[in-house]
Amino acid sequence: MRELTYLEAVREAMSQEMRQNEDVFILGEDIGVYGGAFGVTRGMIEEFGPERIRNTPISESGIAGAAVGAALTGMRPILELQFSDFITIAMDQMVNQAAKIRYMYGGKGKVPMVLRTPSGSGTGAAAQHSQSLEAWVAHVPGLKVVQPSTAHDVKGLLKAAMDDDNPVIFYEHKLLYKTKGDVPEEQYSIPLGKADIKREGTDVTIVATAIMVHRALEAAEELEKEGISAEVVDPRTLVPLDTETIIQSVSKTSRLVVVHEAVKRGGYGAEIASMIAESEAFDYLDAPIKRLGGASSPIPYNPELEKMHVPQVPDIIQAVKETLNKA
Amino acid sequence: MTKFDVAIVGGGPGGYVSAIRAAKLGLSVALVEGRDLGGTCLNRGCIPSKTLLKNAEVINQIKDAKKFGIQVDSYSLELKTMINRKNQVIQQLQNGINSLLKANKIKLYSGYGTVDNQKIITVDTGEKTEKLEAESIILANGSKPFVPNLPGLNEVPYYTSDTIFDIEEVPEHLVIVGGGVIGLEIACIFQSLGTKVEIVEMADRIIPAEDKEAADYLANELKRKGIGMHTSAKVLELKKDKKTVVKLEKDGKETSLETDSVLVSVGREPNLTGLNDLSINYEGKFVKVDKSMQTNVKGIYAIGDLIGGYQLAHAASEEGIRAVSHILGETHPKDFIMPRCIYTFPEIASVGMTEEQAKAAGYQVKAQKVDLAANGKGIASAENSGFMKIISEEKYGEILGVVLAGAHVTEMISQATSFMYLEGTVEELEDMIFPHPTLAEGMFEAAAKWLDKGIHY
Amino acid sequence: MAKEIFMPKLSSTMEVGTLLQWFKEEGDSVEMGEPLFEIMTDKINIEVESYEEGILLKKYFKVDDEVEVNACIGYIGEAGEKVPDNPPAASEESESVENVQEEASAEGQEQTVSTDSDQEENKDGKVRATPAARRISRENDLSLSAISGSGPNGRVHQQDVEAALVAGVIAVTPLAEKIAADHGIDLNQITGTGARGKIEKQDVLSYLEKADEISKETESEPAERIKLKGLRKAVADKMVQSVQSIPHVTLTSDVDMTNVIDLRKSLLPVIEKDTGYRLSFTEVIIKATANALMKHPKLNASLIGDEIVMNNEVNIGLAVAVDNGLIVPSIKNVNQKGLAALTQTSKELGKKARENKLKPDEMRGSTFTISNLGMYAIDAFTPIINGPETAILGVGRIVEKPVVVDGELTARPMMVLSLSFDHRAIDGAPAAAFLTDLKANLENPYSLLV
Repeated sequence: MRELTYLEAVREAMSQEMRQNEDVFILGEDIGVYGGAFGVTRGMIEEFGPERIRNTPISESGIAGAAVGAALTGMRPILELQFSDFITIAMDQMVNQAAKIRYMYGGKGKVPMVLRTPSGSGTGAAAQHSQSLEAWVAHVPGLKVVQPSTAHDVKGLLKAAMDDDNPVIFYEHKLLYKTKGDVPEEQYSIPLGKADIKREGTDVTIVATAIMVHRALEAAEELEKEGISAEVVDPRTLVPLDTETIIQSVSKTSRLVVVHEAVKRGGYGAEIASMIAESEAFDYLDAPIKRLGGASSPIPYNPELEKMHVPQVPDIIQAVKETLNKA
Repeated sequence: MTKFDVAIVGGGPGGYVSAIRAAKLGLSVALVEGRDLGGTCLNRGCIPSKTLLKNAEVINQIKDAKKFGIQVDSYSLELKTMINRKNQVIQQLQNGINSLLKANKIKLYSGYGTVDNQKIITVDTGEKTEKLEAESIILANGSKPFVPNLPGLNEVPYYTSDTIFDIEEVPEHLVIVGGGVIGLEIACIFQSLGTKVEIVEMADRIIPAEDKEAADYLANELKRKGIGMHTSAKVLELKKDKKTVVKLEKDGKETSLETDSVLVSVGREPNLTGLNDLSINYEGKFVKVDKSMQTNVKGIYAIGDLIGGYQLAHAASEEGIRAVSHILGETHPKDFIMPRCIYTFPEIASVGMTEEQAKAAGYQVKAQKVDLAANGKGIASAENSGFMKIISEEKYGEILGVVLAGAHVTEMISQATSFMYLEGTVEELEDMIFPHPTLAEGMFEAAAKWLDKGIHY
Repeated sequence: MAKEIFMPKLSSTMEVGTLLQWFKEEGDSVEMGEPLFEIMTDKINIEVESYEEGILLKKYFKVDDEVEVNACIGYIGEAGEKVPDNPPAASEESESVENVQEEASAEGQEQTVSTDSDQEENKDGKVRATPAARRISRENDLSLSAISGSGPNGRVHQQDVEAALVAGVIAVTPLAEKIAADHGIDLNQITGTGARGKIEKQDVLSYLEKADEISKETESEPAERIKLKGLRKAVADKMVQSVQSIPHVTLTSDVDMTNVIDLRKSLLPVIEKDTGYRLSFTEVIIKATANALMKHPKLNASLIGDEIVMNNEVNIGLAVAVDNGLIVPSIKNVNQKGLAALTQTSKELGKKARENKLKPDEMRGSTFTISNLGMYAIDAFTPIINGPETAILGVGRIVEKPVVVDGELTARPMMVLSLSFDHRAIDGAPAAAFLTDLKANLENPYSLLV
């Protein structure tokens, strides 16, 4: 199969959709000729023109508001925020407008829009450009939250997000943009709310999101050499969450390690851990659930400290061994 | 001089089984046999008698066929063919033992061995003598028919179990001196062949070592078939007249039997050939051993008929295996749970203690007997004569012994042996499922009745 | 309103007190300061006086009961006042103080303590087990408390329960099982000799025989068993702790006691007249020791945690043998006391100790201990340090021995001093120097006057 980068897969998903659906357009800062902060929309303005690849002023609140309005009037906008940290400015539009309108109008209006935005650390972009704030939006009913980890997943999930009649927050990971994978040429959709078992195992379940999926897989590889069989589950969408797959996996392995890059305190891992503790998998737990997440500090600029802030492969290995009393 | 881990003197069921077991457990083994592999059992005992008993059974079935609506107009007997069949059976089994010895790389010395305290065996093959040495020696010399010093016995022709299986003509009249297992089985063979058989037993009943009820039952059955029984009868003298005259004293009165043939089967005595140089201890005529089958000379073991006791082929085999285990360092011998079989018509099979023995051993005995007269399978096959008896201790229901009498019981006694060996109690025997219809159901009935829960009893 | 009577906490190590006697019955009137009851702690027997006046309304405990400190053991109030039928929980105020202390120390040690796997049960007696372990034990009707956990803090995991299940399957013949049940024998106690360890009749019978023999043996000579408690337990704990935590080194030195004997002879009547007590060698040795300690303050130090505390006072503990153990009353500021005062103090403390009447304060604060076995036929021994002190002096008997003085063999009254010191705090040379000075002090006791 053909290989594409994660970034190319995002672009292809949008281009293919825009070719067949006139209602879809993109708006964001410098997404036109410049191609966006990470170059995702590069070349698209040449194909779709400035009407559909719309540069906006530097106002996330304005962009989001415009997208909500467009969606309400029947368009299917995709808006791009340069860094997911800036969602703070768009928060009122997303939380109080986008998330609520369909509910408050009894379904008479809907807000089919996708907010695409790169998150995560590892690029030396320091405290204001490196955060993973997905737990904030996951907390708000009315918003769907997607965190793809591979080129294949990102194309299919973005198609599903664009097809969805609800506002979807679509997190792309900065460090994943350059990763490659097999991606089918035709359009396809991966349903939101369907987790993917990235690796099967029997001794411990590692639920990992975004870039942590790759670190978990690497850890699993190392653990296998020591006879520990780890199952790696990628939820892919935080809202809706595929609880069934995770519960089944934990019931099988009796041990759970949740890994995400976002700060551990109040992170989405707490939701997954609680969900398991409340589920029928509880009686199968044979070790305390472990969470790995970012440190309780702003993300440092110093590259070494930046690495230390988020879980790395050895941390995952260590956590897994602790659940197995082998640390 | 070749040296072995173990040398075994005697290739009967004790000797050859020990040899194979020792070889299987990694020891180098020599087996010394002066006559035929398989010993008394295969050549002059169990196997020939069972072969001829089968002939007898077939004859009996033909005689009974009418009862089943089958008319057999005439039949004739060919004794020569019967004896040939017996010899073929023996040959086949001997060949089997021979190939087992080869397969297990056991060095076979053909000749009588003489053993000394240094554990050196001198084998006289007839042509030359060979010497071999062993770390341990198992004496499995076996036994031979005991011929008592009866007045006039040497003046008359007589058979022993060594010779009777090669008889050339069916005698018209056979007097068997000795009502033990061997005598009774041979009685059944010749009774079927049409011989008038009379048994003379000195004790007050036949098979005196077995359960009294079983002995009485068997005596009645044999009498019913026309076998003459003279118990508490002492042979005073044998005389050669026109025929052979056997003078008896019974109940203080003298009588005499006239017969054309006599079988002497009053017991067996150990074969002590080649043991003269050994300083082993004896108990009566038999070699004395401990629980591990070792004699007073360290490293010299004795098993089988040589040590007396049960004088059964499977007893000898088990004793041999126990001796090998001890040679290899195992030191926890358990008491034997020894099944015993009599292949008469009907059969008697038993295991463990008789009721009398159990009482003498101090147990609170509760025995329960169930008659097979009402047994479905028994009635269907016209084999509903006999009984099953469980001898148990009262408190825990421990099964101390079982006595079975009737058709096919020798094939059923192992079920009782299993229960005793695995320490099942009457409760488990009652709880277990028996298939219907079988004769074996009688054991369930006996157990149920023992617990006052009997279905048909 | 009725006032609670509490079990007093008389020392920092006291956790429980044993009621020895009540001086009052329920309904008796009690004056403030009147002895109410007597208790035994790990150090001392003491009469406790009433802080209240009124009627003794309630006694919750009887003689020989062990009561936790700060627990309410009774009530004093006005006649007819209602008090609870059962003792209320220990007073909150004092407990919260304890808790704060415990928490503070727990927090400080968290890093090291949390990985400790010795404690198998929580304080409330609950077993630490994972949900999976609980489920499997529940499904198999197995008690978790019987299973030893392999996880941190003894947590029971699934595999522990599964192992217990496998181990718990005892192969036994029906007959053997019946006999064992009949005799009430736990099959776990029996080793099976059958195939794969199956327990057979003979195994049960052998076990019974053996048990029979053992019970016969024990019946013939029942040894008295004395439970370690009270003072005995306190001594035992302290000794173990000292020996296990302190690297002891013992030095010995022969001392010519000729001059001390002379000194005692001349001072004995003086001091007896003055105080009524007879001067003994012990007091001279205490005095000489205090003098040497002043010159060698390291030997007078205490090792507390990772700090060596250089004590300002020279307080010498004197080991006194009592009925059921060892008590060490402390003679304060020995360096400031003359032999007369020392004699009086030491005799009085010794008497109180033997009569079990020492006050807690009189047992605290020693900085160096002397243990004198000179009244027995003992020359030298290896005394155990009375922590947190860093040294202890063992005193042997005085006996005439041949010694060489000025090249001549002669008999002299000799005594061996045995000095054990804590090698964590003190090295060999300073300890040797101290002992040498002490020997000099005793061989020339008049120097003490200087």
